[in-house]
Amino acid sequence: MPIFDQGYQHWKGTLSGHAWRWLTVTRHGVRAQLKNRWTRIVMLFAWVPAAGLVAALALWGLAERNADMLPSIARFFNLPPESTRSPQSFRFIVWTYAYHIFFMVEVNFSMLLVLLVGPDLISQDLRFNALPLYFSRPLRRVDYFLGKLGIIVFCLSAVMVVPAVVAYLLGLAFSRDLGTIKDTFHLLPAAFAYGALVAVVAGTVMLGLSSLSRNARYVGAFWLGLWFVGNALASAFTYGARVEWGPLLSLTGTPERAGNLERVGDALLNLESARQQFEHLTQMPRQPRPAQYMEQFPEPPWTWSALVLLGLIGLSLWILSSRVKSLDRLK
Amino acid sequence: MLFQLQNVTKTYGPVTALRNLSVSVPVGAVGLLGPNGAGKTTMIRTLLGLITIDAGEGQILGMDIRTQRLDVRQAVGFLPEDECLFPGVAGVESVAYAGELGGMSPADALQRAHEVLNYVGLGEARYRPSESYSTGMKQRLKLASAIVHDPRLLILDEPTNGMDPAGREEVLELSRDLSRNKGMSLLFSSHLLPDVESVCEHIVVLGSGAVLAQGRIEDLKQVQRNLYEVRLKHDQEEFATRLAATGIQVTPREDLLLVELPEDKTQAVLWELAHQTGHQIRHLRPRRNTLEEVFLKAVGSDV
Repeated sequence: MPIFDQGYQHWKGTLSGHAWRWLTVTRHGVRAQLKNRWTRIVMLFAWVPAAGLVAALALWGLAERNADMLPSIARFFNLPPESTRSPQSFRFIVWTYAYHIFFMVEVNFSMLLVLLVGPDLISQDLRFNALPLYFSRPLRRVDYFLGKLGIIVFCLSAVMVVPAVVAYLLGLAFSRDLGTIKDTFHLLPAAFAYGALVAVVAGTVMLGLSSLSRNARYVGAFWLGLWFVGNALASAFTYGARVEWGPLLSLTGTPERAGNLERVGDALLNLESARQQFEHLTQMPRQPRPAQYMEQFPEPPWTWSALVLLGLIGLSLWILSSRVKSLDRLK
Repeated sequence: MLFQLQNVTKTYGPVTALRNLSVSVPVGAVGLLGPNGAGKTTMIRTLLGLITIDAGEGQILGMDIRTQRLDVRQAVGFLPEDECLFPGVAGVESVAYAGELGGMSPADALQRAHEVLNYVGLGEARYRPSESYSTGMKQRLKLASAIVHDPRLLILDEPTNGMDPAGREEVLELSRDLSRNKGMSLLFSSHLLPDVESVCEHIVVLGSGAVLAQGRIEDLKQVQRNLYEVRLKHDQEEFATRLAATGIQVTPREDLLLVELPEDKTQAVLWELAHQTGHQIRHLRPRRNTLEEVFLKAVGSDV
């Protein structure tokens, strides 16, 4: 029987334009990644902090409307008695700190998720020599990178941005006060920006690492090194050498000290304004860390962290462009 | 015209891969021949708009290779030389993904993937991970991926490299079928002349980045005037000696004699001599160039 027994039919359909071709790479990648049980489990667990965020916003919304519950809820939030006299004036503070804590936890989940999702993305294409299959189709290198980055952005958005927005809407629903929108609206774009920041930084760094090896395990090891060794070095330079730039070596930070992502993210959330408002209302200092600690180990400004992150992105893009070459070269 | 290039030059640092290359190729199955480093792969990449040429211009399927690169790649199917596949997916997903990258909707791509996998004979293996395929199966998977969007032109770069004879024949048979029965034009790059000859009607021979010869295979293998192939029933050697004694040039080649007659003689002289010496001529026909000779002559002129 000839092997083309089934015959060949011409196809009469329409082909789409090129602008959104990168989305095909993302869609295919997301589908493949969600087949991994561990990815699904981590994504599920990453929603637990979101439940905490919803609970916090809902509780404060209830407290604002129920004078009987307010003192106990204020104690729960570690707020001074002044807050019970005018809970609406503490709304901005409570919401901003709630989002700060949510993202602080979520950044670590994101690192774990990127560790599961990212190493395969380019290393496997290099291992199985899939690049000619991509680039011989109507796909540019930038589409390929965007498509791969889109996989990480999707996964991180699902555990950072989506829960943050859902929590915001639920928080609004529990507060039943349109003034809440005015007081807290900055958190919505900030949540998008925070999520985008983590996704773009972690995504480009992971893609850069993934293009360095054909073995995904090595890429995972690089990533863990960047994550944990960076934290260890930051601790050593901060506490040992006592240099101001020590914390800049850490991407995610530790419970005692913010990392670069958290520092820039806090600036996006306008945490400093919340802190100042708290001090103004209570005449009590409220540092993100204990005051004594802050004096002993001053943190660099968030702009330095932003520059470090920009540098990391630039370095990753340079690695990507030199490792994932187009076909315009001699074999 | 299938494609045409005019004065195309492409250099990679000190290496000139294409040197003022001009070629014009008609619709149909075209073989691309040339020794290593002749510029075949660079020419293919030029046609696909994968590289930026230093000078010259060209059109493929009526599209400009410099300004309509993505449109060209959408209209053309390409089967790369190297072993390559999308990792971690079954055969059918791999082909559907290729279709989606080519601009098909996911539903169309999946349906079409099933059709072309049946066509290339991988219907039974469609749900197996593509990494587990044999070399021949991977080659047919690449072919299915290349034709999933029903291209008008299919470019095959060394499609039978490293394949066993049965697998090679399958790929050649599919290529022939696509070209002759389905109306798909082919650009078939290969080192294996019999493969090119069995699939293509037209060839382009490249050497040092320039066209050394091109044309219809039948035309290039033209009949050589006064050169005949002769095979006899018995004692070919003695017949050759007798012919040589009459001043006719004879060259034994495998089981034949190549006889070059002078301008003033016709093949009747061979029949007369056979009659006189009692030999029986079993085969007598004007000599045609083989594709190998055409190729060697073209490449030799380059050397």
